[in-house]
Amino acid sequence: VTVIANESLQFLFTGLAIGSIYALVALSFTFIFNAGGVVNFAQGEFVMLGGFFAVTLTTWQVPLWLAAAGAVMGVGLVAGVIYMTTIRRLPNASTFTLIMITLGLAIVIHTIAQLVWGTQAKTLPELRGGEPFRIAGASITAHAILVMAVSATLMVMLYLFFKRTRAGQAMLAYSDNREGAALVGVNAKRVGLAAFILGGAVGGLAGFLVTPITTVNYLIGLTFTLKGFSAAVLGGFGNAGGAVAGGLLLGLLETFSTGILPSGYEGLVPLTILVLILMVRPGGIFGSRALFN
Amino acid sequence: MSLAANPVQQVVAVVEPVGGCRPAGVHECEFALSILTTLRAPPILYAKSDRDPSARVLQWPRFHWKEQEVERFLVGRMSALLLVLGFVLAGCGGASSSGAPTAKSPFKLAAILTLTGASAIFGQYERDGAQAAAAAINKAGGINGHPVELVVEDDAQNPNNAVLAFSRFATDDSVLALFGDTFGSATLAIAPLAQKAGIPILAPNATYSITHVGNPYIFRVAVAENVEVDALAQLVKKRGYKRIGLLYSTDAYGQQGHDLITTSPLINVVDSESFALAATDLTAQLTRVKSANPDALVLWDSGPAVGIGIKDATQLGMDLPIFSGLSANSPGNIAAANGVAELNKWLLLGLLDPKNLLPRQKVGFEAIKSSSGYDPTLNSAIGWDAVYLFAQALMKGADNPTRQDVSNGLEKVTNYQGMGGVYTYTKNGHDGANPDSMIWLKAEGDTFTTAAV
Repeated sequence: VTVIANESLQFLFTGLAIGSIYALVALSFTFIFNAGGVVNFAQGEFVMLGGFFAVTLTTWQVPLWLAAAGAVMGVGLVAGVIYMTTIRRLPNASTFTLIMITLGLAIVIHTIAQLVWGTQAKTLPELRGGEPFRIAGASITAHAILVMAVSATLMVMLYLFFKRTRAGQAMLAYSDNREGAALVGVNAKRVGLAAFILGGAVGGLAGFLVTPITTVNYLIGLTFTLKGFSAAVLGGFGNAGGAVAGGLLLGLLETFSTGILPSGYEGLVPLTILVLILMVRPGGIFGSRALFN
Repeated sequence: MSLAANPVQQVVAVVEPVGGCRPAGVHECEFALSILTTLRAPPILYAKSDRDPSARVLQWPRFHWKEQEVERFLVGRMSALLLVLGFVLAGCGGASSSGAPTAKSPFKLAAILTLTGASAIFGQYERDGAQAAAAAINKAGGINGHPVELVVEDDAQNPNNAVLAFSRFATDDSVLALFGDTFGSATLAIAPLAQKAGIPILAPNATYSITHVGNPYIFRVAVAENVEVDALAQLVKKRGYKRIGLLYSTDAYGQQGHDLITTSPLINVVDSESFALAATDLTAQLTRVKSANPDALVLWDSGPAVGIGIKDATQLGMDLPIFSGLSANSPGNIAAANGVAELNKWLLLGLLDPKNLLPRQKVGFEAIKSSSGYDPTLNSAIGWDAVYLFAQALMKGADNPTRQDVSNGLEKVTNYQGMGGVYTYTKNGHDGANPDSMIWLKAEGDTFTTAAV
């Protein structure tokens, strides 16, 4: 118990830092779902690609901010191409078909990534390096704080985009009811493409930001997909505020259960709590897309 | 050549002068190829399409030939093809490396390795090392005058293929021993068959269980995990660390390592924490270990998390030496640690440092390098050692050895100074490589180099 008391501040910091990574991925899930109506299980691969694009650009001596821009635009482009070649050709595909397609795409993407970048882990320099901040014996890096700030900003921007802009409203309408949206003049094909490009771009940004913390390898996309999806469901799927809350909660649950439980049980508790929460609130903590409806 | 020409005659014309045997000085493969070249003459499958007469497409040639002609042609082509196949199977099937012709019969060593598939590179290294060793042994006169004949089969990274290939070898009485499989799971799959057939296996796997399942025919040509832990224990004792904090992955390698390290009498573990193989952050585990006040850390993992652990330990302000096993030997870990201070306090086990070769490694290193064109890796060294251990086992034996003679011979190998290890086998100890096989490495730049300990 004394261990818990002494170290709980460290667990809090670590949990928030990991949680903000999950939140970022959950946000990119939310975006593609809201805008395109697709639960994209290749979303974690977009995050992985963002990391690798930035790594490759920095090895070409490109400054870090330009590598970030390259990762965002590069993944957006890849996502757009993927949309044009697969999902656009299946306008009447059911949700399950789309999930199978995106799962297949995930395998294709990580296999190509293995061929291009190999199996070794790669990393990026932190945006703000140097000694971590130390507060009452616990430490947190400047980069982790930055990731949290970006998650928060992105959450507000997505909320405003879907709530206040015509494009955002059109996207929401499209994902809710494609035929209805088409009837009122929403260009379905253009909206779907825009959703994938922007969703890919958000994934690319997430990849650039988390690579200094988690490193990137060709298999890491699946981890991001699972954690990001869990976080999004926990908070309420399709809900930007819920994605961030779900991500932070999942990160804290994982860290505290690793810190408090006997070794080996840490994987058990977060998922058990996730199931319990969903049994009480099937729509997630904030309800599915509650903020937008 | 017109289509009406009888293809059977074409083939006979090629084969008859040599009477079914290849001309002297011509390799089987070249000879088979020369037959194929003569067969290529009429582009028979490029018949005209009925839909588009101008297009030359690959299709069944049924519109322009009489049925009889087709039949004659097929019979001729098939018999030629079978002939070529016969040559290929006899001569260039697998990758045989027979040396200069000698009067004495060859000693055959079969190999089942992963030469295609996602992890094919490991099997290819093993094959290159084994072939270089067979060539070197044969050049030096073979085993008491008998050349080593190495026959390699590919399992395409599938244990089922390994089992099939093994069944073929088992029925061939001239196969004295087997080198393989590249992957421990496939070795375990063929182990029961090997026991039944009495074929000794030189297994290049770290998998702990292969030599601890009571199969007297498996001989490990690699460093077992318990031997890694022995080397770790020796270092911990030598440096006088009294309180070890252990972080291990929850896969087979990590779990086995945890069991071996925590039960080692020389290592006092004050706290041990597990993490998933794909872990992206070890801060929580390290925080717990830190509160147990250790004087050194052990990061035991076969995945990419070691580098992350080194980085996280630095961020938590832990100023401790960190030790890892052979599996941490991947440049990705140096990249992941990203130049943090703790990287300078990290030591890991290794077998081969190209910049600081041990005396027992120099000959093999040069031989493999000159035959394969790249700096030999750990896997090439193991391939080299397997063939030399096979030779070692038969060196004092009869002119007409059995599979059992190879087993008995291997069990008499003591302190054999190989390229990838120092090997000793006994009646009940088939792990082979001892702690002297290993060196301690440290990170230097983006690669590893020998560390003085």
